[in-house]
Amino acid sequence: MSTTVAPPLGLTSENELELQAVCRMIERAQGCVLAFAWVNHPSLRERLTSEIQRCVGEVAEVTMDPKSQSGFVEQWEAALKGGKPVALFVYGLEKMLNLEQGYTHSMAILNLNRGYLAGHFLFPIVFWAPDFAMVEFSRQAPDTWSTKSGSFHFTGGSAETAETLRRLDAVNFGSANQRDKLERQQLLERVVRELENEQSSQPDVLADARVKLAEALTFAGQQDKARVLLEQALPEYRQTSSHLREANSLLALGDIARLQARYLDAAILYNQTRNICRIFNYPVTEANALRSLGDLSRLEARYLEAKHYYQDALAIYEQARNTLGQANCTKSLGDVALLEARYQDASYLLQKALDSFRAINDLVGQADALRSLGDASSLKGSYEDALALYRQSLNIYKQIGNEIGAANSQRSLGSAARMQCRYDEARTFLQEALGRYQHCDHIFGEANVLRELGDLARLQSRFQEANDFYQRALPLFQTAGLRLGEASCLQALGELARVQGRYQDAGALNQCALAIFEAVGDRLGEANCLQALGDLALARSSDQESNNFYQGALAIFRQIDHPLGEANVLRSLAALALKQGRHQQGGELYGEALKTYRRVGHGLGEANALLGLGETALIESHYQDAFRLLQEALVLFRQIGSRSGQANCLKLLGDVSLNQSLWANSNDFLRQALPIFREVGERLGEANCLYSMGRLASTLGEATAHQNFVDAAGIYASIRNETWATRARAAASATTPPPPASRPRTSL
Amino acid sequence: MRALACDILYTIPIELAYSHCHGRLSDIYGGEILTLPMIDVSQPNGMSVLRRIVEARARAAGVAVDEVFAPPDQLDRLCRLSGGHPRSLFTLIRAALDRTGSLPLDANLLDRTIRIQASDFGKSLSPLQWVALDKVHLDHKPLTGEPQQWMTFLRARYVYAYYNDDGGLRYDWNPLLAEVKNR
Repeated sequence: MSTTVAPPLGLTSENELELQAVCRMIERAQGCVLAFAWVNHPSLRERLTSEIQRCVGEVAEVTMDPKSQSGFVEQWEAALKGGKPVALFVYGLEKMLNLEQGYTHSMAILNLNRGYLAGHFLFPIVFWAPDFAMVEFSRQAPDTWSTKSGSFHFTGGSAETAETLRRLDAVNFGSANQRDKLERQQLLERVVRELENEQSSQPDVLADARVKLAEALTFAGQQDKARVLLEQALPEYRQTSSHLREANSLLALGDIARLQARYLDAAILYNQTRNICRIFNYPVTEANALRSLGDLSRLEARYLEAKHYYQDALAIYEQARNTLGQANCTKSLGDVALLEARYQDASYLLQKALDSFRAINDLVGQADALRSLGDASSLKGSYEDALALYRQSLNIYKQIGNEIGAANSQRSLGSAARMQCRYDEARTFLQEALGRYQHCDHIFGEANVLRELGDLARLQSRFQEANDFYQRALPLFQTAGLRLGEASCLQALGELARVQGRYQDAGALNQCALAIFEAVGDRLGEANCLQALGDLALARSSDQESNNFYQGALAIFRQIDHPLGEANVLRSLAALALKQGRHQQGGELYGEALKTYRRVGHGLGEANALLGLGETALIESHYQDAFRLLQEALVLFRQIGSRSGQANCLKLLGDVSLNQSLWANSNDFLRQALPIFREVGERLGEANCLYSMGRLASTLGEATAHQNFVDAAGIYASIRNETWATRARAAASATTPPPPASRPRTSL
Repeated sequence: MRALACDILYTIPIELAYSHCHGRLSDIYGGEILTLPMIDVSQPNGMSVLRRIVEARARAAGVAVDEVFAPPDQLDRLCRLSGGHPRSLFTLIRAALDRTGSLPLDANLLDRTIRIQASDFGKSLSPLQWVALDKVHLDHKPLTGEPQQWMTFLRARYVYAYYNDDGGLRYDWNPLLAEVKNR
C-alpha cells in the first residue's frame, strides 16, 4: 500500500491524520468514490485543500452557484469539460440547501443521479462543507448519503475561529437575507460547540463566538438562549480586561432585558455599559448605550428624557462620523416627535433617517423607518399610505429574517386595517403577529396584540371575546411589570364595560388606570383616561361631571403640547354642548377642533369634526349647510377608508333628506348606511339607522315602520341603551303592525 | 444473482413495500414482496458468513485476513458494528484503511475510525429521534404510530430488519448508534 505523508502545516495531530486519510483515499480510489470532509472554517478548508493538491496533484474544484439554474451534476460537468481529474472537490454545499423548508429541489435530483455519478465520474468526489450542511445533506439526500465511502472530520481551533468570525463580520449582519442568517446561526452553533469540546481553545475566542451567536439568536427572537451565551462570555472578558467587549456584551444583555420588558435590569445594564465606556473612552459604544437608554425612556413615556439621551448620542455619532448611529438617532427622535403628536417634525426626521439608511444600504434601519413613517401616516388618518408603508417594512423584515420586526409590522397593519373597519383583515394580521410574538417569547408584543385583538372584538360587539382577550393580556402586563400596558388594558376593559352599560365597573376600571398613569407620571395616558371618564359621565348623563373630566384632560393636553389630544377633547366638549342644547357653542367647538386637525394633518379627525358640524347644522335646521358638510366628510371618510365614518355620514345625510322631505334620497342614503353598520358590527349605528328608517316609513305611511322600530328597540335593549329602547318601543306602539301574510295555497 | 430462480428481480423503494400498495404490487407482478434482511450478527452463523465475505475480498487483494486485523477478533468487532449490512462493514474497513499506511489494523486505529463513523451517524439525530431509536432497540418492533419517522430510520439505515426463525421480522437499531458519545 502506498502512503502519502503530508508535511506539517501547523495542524493538530488529529487534523493531520485526517488530511493523510483524504490523500490515501484519493490515491487508492479506482473509480467513483463519494466522500465528505466536515470542516466549519473556510480558512482551515483552504489550507487543507491546497495541501492535499500538493500531495496528490491538481484536483478540479467547483464552488456551487446557488443562483444557477443548473443542478449539481450539470455544474460539475460544465466545470470539468470532459476532463478526468485526480479528484473533484465541491465547495459551497451549504449555499445550495434550503434550510428553512428542509427540501431542496437540486438536492432531490442529485439523490436520483447516484447511478449516473457512478458511471460518469470515475474519480473521487469530495464535498467540503460545515457540519450543519452535512447534517442537512444527510436529511435531504439520505440515499446519496448512505452510499458515501469516506467521511473525514477536521476541527478548527482558536485561530481558525477568529478568522471565521472576522469573515462573518465583513458581511452586514442586519441586512443579510434570512437564509444567510440561518446559515450563519447554524455555523456559529457548530463553531461554539466545536470550541467548547476543544480543550486547548482560547477562552476569549470562545467568548467572541458566543457573543456572535447571541447576536444572531437575538435577531431571530431567541432571547433566552442569547442571554445564556452572553452571560457565559462576560466573565471571560472581565478576566482578560477586554473592556470594549465587556461593554458591548452588557449592552446586548440590556437589549435583551428591554425586549423581555425587564426595564429596571435594562437600565442597570445600559448604565454599566456607559460607565465602562466613559472610563476607557469608547465613544461610539457610549452613544449606543445612550440611545438604548433613550429607547427605554421612550417606552416608559418619559419623552423629554428620551430626547435628551438621543440628542447626546447624536452629538457623539456626529463627532465620530458614524452614519448608521446618526440615522438611528434621527429615527428615534422622529419616533418621539410622533408620540408627542408633532407630525410634521416626525415626518421630516423619519424621512431623513430613511434616506440615510438607504444611502448606507442598511435594511434593518430602512424597515424600522418605514414602519415609523407608517405610524405617522396612520396617526394622520392616511391609512392607505400607512398600510403601504407597513407592507414595505414587513417585506424587508421577512427578507432579513427579523421576527420581532415582522411581528411589529403585522401588528401595525392590523391596527391600520382596524381603523378602516376591515376587521377580518385586521384580525388576520393581529393573529399572525401574536404567533410571531409568542414564538419569540416577546411579552410586550404579545400582551399588546392581545389587547388589540380585544379592541377589535369590542368594536364588533363580540364582548365576551373582547373580555377574554383583555383578561389574557392583563396578567402578562402585570407579571412583566409593564405598568403602562396594564393601565391601557384596564382602560380598555373600562371602555368595554361602558359600551355594555356597566357604568359603575367602567368608572372603577378607568379610575384604576388613571391612578397608574398618575403614579408613573404618564401625562398623555392621564389625559386620555380623563377623557374616557368624561365620555362615561356623558353616557350616564352626568353632564357637569363629564365637563369637569373633559376640562381636566384639555388642560393636560395643552400643558404637554399635544394638539391631537386637545382637538379630540374639543370634539367631545362639542358633543356635550349639543346634548345640552348649546348648539352655537357646539358648532364653535367643532370648528376649533377642525382647525387643529387640519393644522396637524389628521384626516380622520378632520372628517369627524366635519361630521359633528354637519350634525349641528342638522339640529339647527340648516339643511343645506348640513348636506354640504356631511358630503365633505363623506369624501374624506371614503379617502381614508373608514367604513364606520361613511355609515355615520350616510345615516345623517338620510336624516337631512328626511327633514327636507326628500323621501327617495333619504331612503337611498339610509339603505346605503344600514349594511355598512351591519358589516362593521356597529350595533348602535344600526339601531339609529333602523330608527330613522322607521321614521321615514311612518311618514310615508308604510307598514314596514313598525318592524323598523321594533328591530331598533331590540338592538338598543341588547346594548343596554334603555332611553332609546323605550323611545323606539313607543314609536313601534304608535305604528300599525303589517297584516299577517296570507298562507300560500298548496297545489293538489 | 444467477443463483436466484427468477427471470426478473425488481427492487422497490422501502416506502412502497410499507404502503397500502403492498397488496396491489403483489397482484400485478405475481410475486411476493420480500425484504432483503441484514445478516443476523447475533447468530454464530451470521458472523461466520460476514467473516467469509471479508476473507474472500482480502484474498482477492492478495492478503490473508489475519494480516489485516490484529488481533484477528477485531474483525468480529467490525462485523458486529456493521449490523450485518455488508456495505457498512466495508465502509468501516475502508475508513480504517484510509487512516493508516500499513497493516494490520490495530485496536487503536479501529477505535478512532469507529468513533468518527459513529459521530457522523449520530449528528443528524434529534433528542426525540434518539428516544424513538432507544425504543426500537428495546422492543425490536416497528414504530407503527410514526410512519414518516419509521421510513426515515429504515432509509437512512438507523434501523435494520432481521428475519426471525418463524419467518417474522425483527428490528433493531444500527449498532453504530451505541458507539455515539455525545447524544
